[in-house]
Amino acid sequence: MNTIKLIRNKWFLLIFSIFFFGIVWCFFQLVYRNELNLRDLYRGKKPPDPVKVMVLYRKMMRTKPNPHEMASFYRLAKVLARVEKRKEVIRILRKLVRVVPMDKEIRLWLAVELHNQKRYKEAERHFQLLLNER
Amino acid sequence: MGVYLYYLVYRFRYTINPDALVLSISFLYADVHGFFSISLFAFQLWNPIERKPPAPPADASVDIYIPTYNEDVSIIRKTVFGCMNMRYPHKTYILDDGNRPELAKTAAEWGCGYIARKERSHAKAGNLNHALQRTNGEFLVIFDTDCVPQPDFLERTLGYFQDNKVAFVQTPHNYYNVDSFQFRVNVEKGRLWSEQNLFYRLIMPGRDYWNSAFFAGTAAVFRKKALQDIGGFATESITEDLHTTIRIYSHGWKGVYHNEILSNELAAKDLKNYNVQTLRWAEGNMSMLYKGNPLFTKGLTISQRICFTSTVFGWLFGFPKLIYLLLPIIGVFIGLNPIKSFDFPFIWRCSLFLIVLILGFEFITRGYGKIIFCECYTTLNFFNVIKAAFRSFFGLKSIFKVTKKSMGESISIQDIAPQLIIGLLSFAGVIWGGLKLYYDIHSNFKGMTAAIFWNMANGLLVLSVIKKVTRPYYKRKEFRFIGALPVQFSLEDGTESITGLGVTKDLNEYGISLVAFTPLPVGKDISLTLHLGQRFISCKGTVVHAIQADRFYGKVFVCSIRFDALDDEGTDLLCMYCFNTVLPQFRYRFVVRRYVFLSLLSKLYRRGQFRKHVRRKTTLPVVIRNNVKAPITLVTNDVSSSGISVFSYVPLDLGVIIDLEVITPFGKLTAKGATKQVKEIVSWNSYLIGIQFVEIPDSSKDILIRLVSKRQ
Repeated sequence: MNTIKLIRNKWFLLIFSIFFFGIVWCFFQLVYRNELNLRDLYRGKKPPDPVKVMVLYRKMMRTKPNPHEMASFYRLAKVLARVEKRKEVIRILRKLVRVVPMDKEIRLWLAVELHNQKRYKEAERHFQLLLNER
Repeated sequence: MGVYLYYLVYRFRYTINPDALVLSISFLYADVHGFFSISLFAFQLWNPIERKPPAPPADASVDIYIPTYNEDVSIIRKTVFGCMNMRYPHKTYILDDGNRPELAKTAAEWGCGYIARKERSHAKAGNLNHALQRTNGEFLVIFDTDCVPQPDFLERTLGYFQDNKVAFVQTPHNYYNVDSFQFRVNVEKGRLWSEQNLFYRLIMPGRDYWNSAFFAGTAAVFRKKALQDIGGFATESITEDLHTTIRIYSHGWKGVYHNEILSNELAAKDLKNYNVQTLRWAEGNMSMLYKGNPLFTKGLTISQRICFTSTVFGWLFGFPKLIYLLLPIIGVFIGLNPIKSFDFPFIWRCSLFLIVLILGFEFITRGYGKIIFCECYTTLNFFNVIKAAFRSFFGLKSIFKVTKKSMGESISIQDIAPQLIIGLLSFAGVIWGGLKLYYDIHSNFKGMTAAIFWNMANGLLVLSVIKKVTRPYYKRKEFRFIGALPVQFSLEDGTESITGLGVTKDLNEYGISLVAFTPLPVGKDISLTLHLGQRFISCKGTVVHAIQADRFYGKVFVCSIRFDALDDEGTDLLCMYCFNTVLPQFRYRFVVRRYVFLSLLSKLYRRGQFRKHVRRKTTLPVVIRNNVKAPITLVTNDVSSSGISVFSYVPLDLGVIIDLEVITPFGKLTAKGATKQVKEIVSWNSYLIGIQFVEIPDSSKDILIRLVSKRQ
């Protein structure tokens, strides 16, 4: 059976589609393994393992967040907050604020974290920006 | 155009995404390119002209040129005999660039002239110029080797030359091998779409209004003086036709486009040869930018410059098409959006733009353009066109490659590799985008959904294209014409003798598909008498294959019959009958619905909601007896409870009472009828006659009811 006849064969197409889906899915799992691990940590009911969280933190800090794919960084900040890594939370939130400066929720959270860490001057700047936007 | 312009302004002002500048600018370029394309397209279609040909001059001397290189003699034979059958006095010449002694001998046997040359410089243009110096006719007609003219070709075109400024008359290219992948055919619904019809049946008549119709390579008549004025056919480009036309117009001559099908030719049968042809056309047309740019050629009017620039510009569609195919893929994988903010203001404007564009296109193309089919063909051609553009831009030497018109070739994966890659990436994009949304990785739900949808649309488009071009084709050497002729058959099956009257389903000079109401044994010899209008062909054949059809409660049998070598006279007679009668009757079945509204209306009408008596399209043999004339055997077009319509080679007098004998799977239906309508399909050759039943015997009423019932 030549290649053209093969690609017209319904059974071949069905099996190929399944394999193709599988290949794309595997590739997706490989490319987004950090984000997927983070998602599991975020959704998990048990407290996350701090070592795993820090490993993910170091890996993700090396990348630049995409304005449309910030959900992972946001989750990372939430997970870091759950394991009481406040300095790291501030670093992540700073990164997010640089990418999406108009996002008030992230800026407010950054301002509160800075305030809680007694970094009042930096916190004041962010609170001022939020108040000015109103 | 207003909506498009408004959309473009909006896009430029509010939707450029600085985070994805390259993608945004590319997307905008593609939209702007589309705007210019549509504008030029609309300009060309401003006022398509339908001309009525004046009477031909009494004593014009006409030479027919049939340039050939390596085409099969069987293909050339049909063209030669078609030319020699033309009614107006002329001389036919085969211009053989292959310098084949056997063709020279055959041309002498056929009774036509033969001109060969020793070298092959400048391909077809050089061949034509060589012949120009060796013939004396005042007019010359060019037919490609597969282009068979109708008998009235010269009578319908020469009259235009009464205007001394007319340099050439071009007629539409009509491709008859509807089994080629370039066609979308539905015989039952009367729908036929071809990639080329939009150009030849609408764009060219539109360009005629601006005196910008151009010589398209074949099926055209030239005034020799005009060609001599410009120094012969242009040889600088591989599309000598366009280049020659521009020169003609720049010298102040006029061109005419006669929008009537007067010849028939073969479309490229397979993708390989189709790609060769497309690449040649694209390269040749784009090379006009450098060799005789219409914008800078002296002597052309402004409208001619616009029209010819549109011709060249039209071949750049590959670039925006590639952008539209790649953009959603890149957007999904990289996560960048070419639109700054995919919000409701953009969505409604984009939706409005697309709706207006699609409806506007359907309206402006007057039934000849189907946007989904056009998109399929741009998807098929985009890679070749981009290749041609690069070859043109970098000045690579173009080679004139002849499109093979003999038996189709098998295609390979390499022929569809670009489409396969785009298809796989598009479907991968759908999966990737879906996974991103499922795992909450992408926050812009609307944007990602739009990208997934776009990828899906592209993927399905590519799938449709691949499915169409890879379908198995008939391995017959010659195309079988789809048409019905009455055929009397008889064969001996042991002690039994089977005789009857059937109709053909398709035919050519090598065999027929016969529809009979008795089963015929496979492998047996069969005697046939084919009714070709007023003439008959008696021959012998072999039943190669027989199947029982589902129609009429399984009482119908379709048998493939191979002729046992028809003699030359029979072959030529059958060929000419196929081209001059069967083909026009076949074309008659397909009507172009000019507007969407009319198309919907006709759908309702065909469903029979407004008809008193539903008509069933049925081809059955019918013998018509008239007290005055000899009985004639014809074929029905449709049957209803009130009458029938038949294809006839002679017109019948209106109102005359005739005896009908219709051979049906349920027996003979006899009736008396009166002719109510006579429509000419081909002048002096073929008519559609409407007959109303006047009297039906009781024995035939039952047969008629079974014939017209819905469940067949």
